[in-house]
Amino acid sequence: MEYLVNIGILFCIYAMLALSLNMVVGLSGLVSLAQAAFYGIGAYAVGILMTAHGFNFWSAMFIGILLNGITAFIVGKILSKFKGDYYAIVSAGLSVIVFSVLLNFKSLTKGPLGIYGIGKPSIAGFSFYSSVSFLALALVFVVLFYALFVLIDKSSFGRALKGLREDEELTIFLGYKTTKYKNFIFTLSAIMAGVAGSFFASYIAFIDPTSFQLAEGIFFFTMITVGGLSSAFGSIIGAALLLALPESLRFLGLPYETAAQLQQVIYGALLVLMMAFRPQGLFGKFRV
Amino acid sequence: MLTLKNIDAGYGKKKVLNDVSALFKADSITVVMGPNGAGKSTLLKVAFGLLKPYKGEVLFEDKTVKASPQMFVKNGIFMVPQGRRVFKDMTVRENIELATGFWKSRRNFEEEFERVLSYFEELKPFLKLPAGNLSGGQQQMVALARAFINKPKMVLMDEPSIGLSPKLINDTFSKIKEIKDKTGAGFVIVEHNLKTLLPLTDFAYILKDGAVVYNGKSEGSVLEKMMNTVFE
Repeated sequence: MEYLVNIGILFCIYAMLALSLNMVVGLSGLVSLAQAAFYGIGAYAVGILMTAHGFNFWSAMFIGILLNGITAFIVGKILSKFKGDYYAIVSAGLSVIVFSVLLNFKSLTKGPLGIYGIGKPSIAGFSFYSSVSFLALALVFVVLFYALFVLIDKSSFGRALKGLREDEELTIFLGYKTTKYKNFIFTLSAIMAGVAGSFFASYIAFIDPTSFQLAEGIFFFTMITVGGLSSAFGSIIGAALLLALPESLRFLGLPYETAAQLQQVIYGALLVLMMAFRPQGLFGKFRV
Repeated sequence: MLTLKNIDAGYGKKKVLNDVSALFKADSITVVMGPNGAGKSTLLKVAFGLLKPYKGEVLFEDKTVKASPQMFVKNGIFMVPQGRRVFKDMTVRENIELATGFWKSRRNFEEEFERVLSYFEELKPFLKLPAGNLSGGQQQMVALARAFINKPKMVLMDEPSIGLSPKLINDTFSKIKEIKDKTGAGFVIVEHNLKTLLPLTDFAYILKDGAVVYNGKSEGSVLEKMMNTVFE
């Protein structure tokens, strides 16, 4: 039972990340590989502030959100000038930079040693210490993010995003300042990824830079590609599938080494199969 | 209405327009013709604020303006780009809705939508279809409807005839004239050579090597002679 609850919490964190990334990649057609960076900033804000400065979870998460918002807004200003492959490369650059900072700014982040002993959230004296209560709290955020996704998808703002996804120049002709739209959705997505990072740090109680590498960003990308681009439901399914597949390997009774490698094979095969036979993903409405 | 005054413009070091002035009037169809590379599209880009000229001014209703697509759209000037560009994955209705993003209130959208459909009756059966499934001529109508839901004062069109059969070109221009008569909007149409359709238009400019070589009524022997030399 405890095992299932733990899987459930990880699922919630992945679902938040998938929803946040799908707003940028799916709704707006911007191939961003920066998500791991914002995930990391959110996690480290909570990790550092809660362990070294006595902040509670919520105020630490709030500062993480602020930090992510500012970083994303500045980076987004530069990124908004790019599209397609260039957007992907520049955003991947951000992931590499943030990873290097986490690894090398040892006086702040403790470098490769990581930060441990990160506490749990609490509201009005109630601590979300038990896994079940933590799962419930995480689920609330997944529902909120899901609702936000659907709201944007249906709004005129969402229509403008889909417009620039299909033909940015034409959207400019219709009087839209597309760089503003791109920057807004990028910043919003960064904030959401930061929240996911905060939950991850608090749940695992220990973070080190390896959880926030560029490769993680590509893993999140695989989630939404499999689940379906531009679809809130697809994001959830993608997160669930990519979590369930490697977990199910545990029950095959394979030696640990084999299982770990098989996991990579499965991810790779999954991505190739999807690209070949269903490039828009299982529930996707759009293909990159 | 929309005036270009002594415009020099180009891309980087390559100067395309050389001291070009033009006056586009409301309630009339002005056609800008010229051979390839004469600077027709560049002129349209400057007029819509997509390209900043090296020198010269863009005037809107006799006032110098800082031209940008956002500014023009708010003031009733719209661009229909080359190649019948529609959002192919969106429905016809969504295409038209997307053109109203700058409206302060959406309260009278349905009313305006009905009005614009009365100009483009032929679109009515296809409102829920992806615009990409429509024929070339119908896509051109979607592109025009996007402009006309906004009650434009002026519509700039870049080579609307490209990729259309002679019959459809004829239909398109008849439609343009019909809408002009109904709404009083001005049209600026850039075309390579529009000899047979000139009677449907009011004024003509001919560009050659980045300079205006004819401007005036779109009829008469002077125009004919000029066209014969330019398009020889």
